[in-house]
Amino acid sequence: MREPATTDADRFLALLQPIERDLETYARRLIWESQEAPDALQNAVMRGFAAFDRYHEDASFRAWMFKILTHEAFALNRKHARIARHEFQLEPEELAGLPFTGEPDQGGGQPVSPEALNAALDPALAAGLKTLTDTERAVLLLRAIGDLRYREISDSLGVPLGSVMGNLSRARQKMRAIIAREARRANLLKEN
Amino acid sequence: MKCDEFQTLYGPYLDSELDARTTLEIQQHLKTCPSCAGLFAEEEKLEARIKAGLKQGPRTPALWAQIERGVVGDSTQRRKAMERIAEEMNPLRLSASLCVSALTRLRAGWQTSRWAWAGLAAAWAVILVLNSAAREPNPPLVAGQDLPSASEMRLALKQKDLLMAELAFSSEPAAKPKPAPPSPRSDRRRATLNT
Repeated sequence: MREPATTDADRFLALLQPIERDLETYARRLIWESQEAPDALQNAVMRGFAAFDRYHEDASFRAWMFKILTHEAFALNRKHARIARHEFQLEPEELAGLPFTGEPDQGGGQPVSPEALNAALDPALAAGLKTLTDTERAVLLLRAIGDLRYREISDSLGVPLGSVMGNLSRARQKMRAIIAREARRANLLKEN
Repeated sequence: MKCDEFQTLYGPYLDSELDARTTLEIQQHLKTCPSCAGLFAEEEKLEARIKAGLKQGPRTPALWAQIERGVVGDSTQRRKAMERIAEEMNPLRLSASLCVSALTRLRAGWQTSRWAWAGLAAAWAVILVLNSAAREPNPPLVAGQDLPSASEMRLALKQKDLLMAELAFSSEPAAKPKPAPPSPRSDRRRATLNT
């Protein structure tokens, strides 16, 4: 029998390869135990390939794969019941110091330089992500890494559009608060 | 647009999720409100930094090579399975395997129950009866099979001529034609036909 010119596997891999890096980054940031990210990726890709005959060319393959991976990651996080252990509330003064919250900055009052912000960004991102709920973190990462539209995020997570906007707004506020706190700490360390 | 309204919409504005009209209103507000414009410029920069920081991450070549091998392997397995199913679903092969399987099971159960053979025989008898009842009384002739012999053809033509003659010239019933002695071959054919 003659081999078909393009198999399903060829077509699937051609669509997958351009988004592999983003999928891996997303998995490593969304899953609490980063050593479990490879398993989640493998499972998600195999699930995606198994369901590839139901994928329509006019749909976004990127959004489709991010949706499958999100479900895998949530299942892993639920399985290990780590969400509650890792989540913690933001301190009130940090939230109050956020821009656009309508209240003055009471979290130290010192201006944060761009250099301090950049230096504090990487550890602050990791710390900031831990302050988010599972949904807030997924919404933020789907927007930042996945480049998904609000409608696609709503479809991926099975939550209403308004909920996507609310979660994204809260996630951004928390992230900014953590980054500002880390930057202030860096400034204090420099001064001492 | 007022400042508090802008502050509720700056997130979707940042993500280009607003309709054209609202986007235009925000752009006009930012032109006329230096306070909101300054805050938004800072937020935009910080958001870009957060996004760039979150997107930073490696692509592990060994991991993806393994995953891609899994996809190709799965595809090959699936194709082979489909070919095997297609082969097994061949009617002749399927019926033969079913018969062999049934006989094997029957043979295995011979020691425990001889009724099984009786049941099988009864089932075959029913199948034969149904087959005979369902068969067409005069199956069409197929080229090369059951062709009438020359003597049969002559007899049929003679019968036809007699019938036509009776219909044309006499209202009396025609004398029954004397049947020609059947040839051994025609006897064989009649015996196989279920008339």
